[in-house]
Amino acid sequence: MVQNRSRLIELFIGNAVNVVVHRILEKAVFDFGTAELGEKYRNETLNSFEIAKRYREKINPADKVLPEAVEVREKIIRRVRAELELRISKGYSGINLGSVESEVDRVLGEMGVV
Amino acid sequence: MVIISRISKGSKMDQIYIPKNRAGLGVGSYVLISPASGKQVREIGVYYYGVRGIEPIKVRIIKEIFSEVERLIHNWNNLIITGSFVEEGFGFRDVDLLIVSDEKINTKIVEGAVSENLGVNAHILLVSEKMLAAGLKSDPFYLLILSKCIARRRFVYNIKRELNYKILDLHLLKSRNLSENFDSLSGKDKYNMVRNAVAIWLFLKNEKIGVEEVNKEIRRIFELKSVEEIKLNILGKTDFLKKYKRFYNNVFEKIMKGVKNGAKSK
Repeated sequence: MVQNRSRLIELFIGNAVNVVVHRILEKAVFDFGTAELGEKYRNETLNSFEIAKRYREKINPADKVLPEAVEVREKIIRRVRAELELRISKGYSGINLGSVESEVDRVLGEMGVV
Repeated sequence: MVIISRISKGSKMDQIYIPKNRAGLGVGSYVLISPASGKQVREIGVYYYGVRGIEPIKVRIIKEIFSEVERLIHNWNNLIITGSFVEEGFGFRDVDLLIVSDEKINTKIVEGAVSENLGVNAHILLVSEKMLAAGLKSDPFYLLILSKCIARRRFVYNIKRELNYKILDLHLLKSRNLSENFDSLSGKDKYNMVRNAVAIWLFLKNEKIGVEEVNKEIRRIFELKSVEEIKLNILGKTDFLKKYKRFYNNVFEKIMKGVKNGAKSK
């Protein structure tokens, strides 16, 4: 299926958000001395990560920084915060909102967006 | 009776010497000579969990895999074959093998050896005893994959469940992007995402989790004749997504309620 560039970027953002949310929640759940379990769950972000990567490879330039990098980063940060704040509003404790930006930068770096 | 001996070089013919004092294999009887190491398969016992019918050829393959893995690694607690290979029929792509061991094992080497020596594409997951026990207690996915399996050794499947809502929230994230990625996901990906969410749902309701139970619940929730509609990627998008979003939100709300109440276990 042929998909236009902005749609691909949207799909990429959705999956990248999932990866970041998963990583931050992992820390909220497993930073209590259950490192082994944490390691196991780490593998489970792979699905969204792989899907996001697949989309990233379809967005040109595939091997250079995206011209929309700043915009993409901002959108991901906003959506990650919304996901996490939704959980906090429902009584979820231990979520570190301060790590959102660094986690987003890490994921975008791994995907070659920034 | 089995005797292991060495072939020695003769002038015209090579020979194998065996002890004169032996219980069987009398002089004049015919014997079969085969290598003591290498691909020879010992008769090994296996234990069936939730497997009602499986083709004998698959059982032979499983025994060969166990034999090969046992040859390669020594410090294992259990070997468990699960996934589509233990389903009836031949619609599998690879063989899912769970190695239960507290040692560090390079699964890539084992996968390579199984592939090279047996021609079987194995997908190996390494878990420790502790992780397996924790998984069976709090992870619907473990319950699902181990509800139908063939193991080298007996293991306890029925462990009292523990509801850790934060972990369930993490599990549910795997199914979150189905709606968004609907057009680009394969039928198998979609089925895995739906199956994951439904297994969590059954876990929350403290109901039995197995392949049949999950498929039955999928059919009920999404009003499908068969789960093949998902696997074959022939779903009606609008109608399915409407039901999926409602179902997903329902599961998410139930988990968040648990998180709020601070209930870690029940």
